[in-house]
Amino acid sequence: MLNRKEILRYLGADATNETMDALIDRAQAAVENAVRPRHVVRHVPLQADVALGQVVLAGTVLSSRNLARHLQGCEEGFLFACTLGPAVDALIKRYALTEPPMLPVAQAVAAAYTELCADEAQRPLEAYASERNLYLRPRYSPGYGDFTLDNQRFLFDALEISKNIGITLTEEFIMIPFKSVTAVIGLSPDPSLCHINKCMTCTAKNCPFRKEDEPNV
Amino acid sequence: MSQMYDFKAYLGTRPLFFDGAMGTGLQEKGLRPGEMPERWNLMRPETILEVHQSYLEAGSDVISANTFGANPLKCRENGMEAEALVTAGVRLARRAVEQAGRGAVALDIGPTGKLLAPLGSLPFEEAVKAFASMARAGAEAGADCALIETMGDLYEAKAAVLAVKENTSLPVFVTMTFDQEGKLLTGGSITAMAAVLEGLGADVIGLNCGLGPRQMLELLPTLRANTALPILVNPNAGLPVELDGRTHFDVGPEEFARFMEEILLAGAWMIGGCCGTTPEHIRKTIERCKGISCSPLPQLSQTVVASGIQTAAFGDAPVIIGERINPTGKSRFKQALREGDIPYILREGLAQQDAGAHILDVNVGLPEIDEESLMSRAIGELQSVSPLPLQIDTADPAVMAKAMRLYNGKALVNSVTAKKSSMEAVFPLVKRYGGVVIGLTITEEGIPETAQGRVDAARRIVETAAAYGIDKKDLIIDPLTMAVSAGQDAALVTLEALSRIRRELGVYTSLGVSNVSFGLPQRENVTAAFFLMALQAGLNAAIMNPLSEAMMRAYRAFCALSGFDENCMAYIEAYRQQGSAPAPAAPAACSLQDAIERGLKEAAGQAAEELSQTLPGLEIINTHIVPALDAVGRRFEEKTLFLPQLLMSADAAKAAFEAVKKHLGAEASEQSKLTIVIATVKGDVHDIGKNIVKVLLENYGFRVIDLGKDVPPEAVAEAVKRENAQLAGLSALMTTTVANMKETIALLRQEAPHVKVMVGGAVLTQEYADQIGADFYGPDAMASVRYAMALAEKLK
Repeated sequence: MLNRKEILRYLGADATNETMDALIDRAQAAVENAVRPRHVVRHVPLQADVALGQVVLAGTVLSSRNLARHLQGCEEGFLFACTLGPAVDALIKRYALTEPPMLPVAQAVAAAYTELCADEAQRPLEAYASERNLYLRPRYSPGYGDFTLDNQRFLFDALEISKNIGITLTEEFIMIPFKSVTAVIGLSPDPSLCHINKCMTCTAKNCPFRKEDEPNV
Repeated sequence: MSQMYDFKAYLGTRPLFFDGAMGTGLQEKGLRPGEMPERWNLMRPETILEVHQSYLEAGSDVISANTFGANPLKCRENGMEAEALVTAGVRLARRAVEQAGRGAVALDIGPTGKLLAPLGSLPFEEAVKAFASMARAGAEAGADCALIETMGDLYEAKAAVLAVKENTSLPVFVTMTFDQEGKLLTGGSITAMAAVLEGLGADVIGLNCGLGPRQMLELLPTLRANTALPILVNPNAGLPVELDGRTHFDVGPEEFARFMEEILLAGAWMIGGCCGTTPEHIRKTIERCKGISCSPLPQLSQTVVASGIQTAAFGDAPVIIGERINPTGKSRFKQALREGDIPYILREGLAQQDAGAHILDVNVGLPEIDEESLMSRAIGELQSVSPLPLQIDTADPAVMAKAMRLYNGKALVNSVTAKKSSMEAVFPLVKRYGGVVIGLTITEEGIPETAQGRVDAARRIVETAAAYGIDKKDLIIDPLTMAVSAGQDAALVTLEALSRIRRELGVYTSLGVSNVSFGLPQRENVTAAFFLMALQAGLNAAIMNPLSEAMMRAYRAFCALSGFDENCMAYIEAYRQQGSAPAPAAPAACSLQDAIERGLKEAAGQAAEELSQTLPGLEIINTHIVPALDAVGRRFEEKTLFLPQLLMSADAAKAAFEAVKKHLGAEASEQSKLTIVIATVKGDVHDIGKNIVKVLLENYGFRVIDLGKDVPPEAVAEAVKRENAQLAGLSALMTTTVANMKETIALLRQEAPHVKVMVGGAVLTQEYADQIGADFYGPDAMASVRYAMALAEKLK
């Protein structure tokens, strides 16, 4: 189920009304019609060294203190990518031209849909984890904290993302289609770091979408 | 260097066998995830050589050099030199072939991993350049053919085919990756792929990667039915399965071989393997399949145009070519062209698509504009919002050449005439880029007055095209609609020529039907009747206005009556709501202010129209529209209504402004002297926020020059100076591109010190904005409107 509260939050709305509900319903139908979700996943061994501020993923060393802290205690994990496909970008572009009020609505619905698809795609990983009494850490993406965007390059090569699911990278490491997610997911025997709010693991304290209503850990 | 492999001598005489996976083998020998396999051409050449040898020993006829990802764009990011990797890769494969004493080497060309503009940021010609450097290096190092493979985007495949054909004489094999529904990653269809690649002159086309042999076997009949070219099929060893953290493929050598046999029997001429396949898969396949003979290639005569997504075929239901993107006789459209107002063009296109057009004609020719650049932009942008194939409509061969090159697909080309000079200019372009060309029956002497004269002209076009190697399936003849007001038998001559051309020359026909009613009142009456007569005479395509109800009624009724509309479904779909339902209730009378506050666009337009009968325009603006917008703005700031509603009100206000303008004249109703240049900064391609701000600013009455996304600092400074803008608005979504925002502001301070700069975007804060030297930080869209209003007030 799409999280309507999340959609409203993306729209900067802390309440809803009839007009908003009608717009969101329309956008949801249009987005659902346009999506072709695809994902790709790879199981990798990993070592996180908090002191050095680096993570070794399947033999490749990445520098990031935040990621190292996030993956602390994990010895394996998943590289992950998913996308809603290019037709959603085209839909949003179309609204910009023909019906501007729908633009932010479709954008918000698509963003919530991306989260939903990522969560769905992650289900088998959860099953894998629970069979082994392990726990999944929240998805951690390039661009969070000091895990810089140029780390996209590694994820794209390791998962062959462009070839497998059609996401491409610009020179500045921005993903197209826009409605795409890449992430590292740690697998840990210790559940304590696994239920924290995603936002609170990010160091972008001034992000306008930061959720403050959930407890920091 | 040894003799080039003679594909022509083998093609069709027996199946040709390709090799299997390279990457799969290298991973077993220690290639790390994410490591570039092509590096091993230099670092571990013996390992690469061993893989090639193993496939030659298994019996492969063609081995693919380890050059898949060695394009300059990818190599640059990995600090490698592409040409060196290509040369080394091809030489290793060459060495293996020479040691074995048999076989051919394919230069393997995979996708760049970048998305081409305008959806992505890689310019088409940059992609061509990158592939061209691979092609030249590969050919020089001794490749026998180019294998362009694993392409998920037809547009990129086109760039690669052109690069190989323009820089080498290698045969071109192209295989693309589809999902189980037969769709490319971009959503493109198998029929579109066949039309485009055949048009570009590929020698062999087919499928690879993504799917196993079982799934490819299901897609093969569609491909076989849509191409007359030999087909190559290189499946994965089934679908990937994650086992104990490793990717495995589920089809073993024996099973693989059984499916490959069926694939040959279904019409493929060449087979091999992709991810997960091993020399054993190939050995078993060859053992099983070597005695099979190739099925003859089908004779096809389909007339098809395509975008990168879908096709439009002629010969079945008549095709509607939307004529609205054309400045002739349209002053608003001319104004849009002069101002480079691409969104206006796009809206015209989308409206026609929604009304039922199958193809969109694109004509942007005006004497005072740069047609070549505008045509290129219009085509690219249209293709980024509409899946419909386009008709490139220009009288200038240079514009046509550029447009056909940049077009994503196989275009309909409008047009060639029976004049020698026209055919000499246009046919080579069709040959080079592919396309279906509309031939107008105009000769050096003008338009023949008789049907016989037009049939003769058509015959000349068909025969000359054949001499250029263009089959008549890629021609459509337009015997020209003349105004019936200027000649009593004008329509009859056209119709007679039409049916004779169809019958005697066996080519499809089109007409620009609207011309027939030129000079008459109530033109639609005559045009729609003529349209029906032409359809009855066998017309295959009409260039017309799909927004005309009368024309679409005629079209849908004709299709239902002529058996083109199964169970009349399309007709019922279009008209079941009409007539029976009561007419939509007129919007309840509400005041202008109320209509704007509630975001009712039509009601606002009507209310403003009514007020304009009694009140001066400026008074309507100042006492009705502006206060309403102000109230909405306040409610947005108080969070009692939200961004989409703010935009709805802005839309309604725009409708009201437009109604007032009609009575007042644009000049007098100009609400503000403030000109604002806005842009998403260089490197950033997220422009949703910027687009919202743009709509709001425009609807609040400001003049806004939108430079788009990924805009270099120099372009912003240049536009500010040229437009004498007092305000520049910059947006950036990513922390990484805020640096470019800073650079843009610095340049503006230098080049245009008078301009104020406001900034916005998800990662920005007041603090950040201060650091980079902006005058104002807008935390939301309304804030930028308020700032612009305050600035405009000061400037009064």
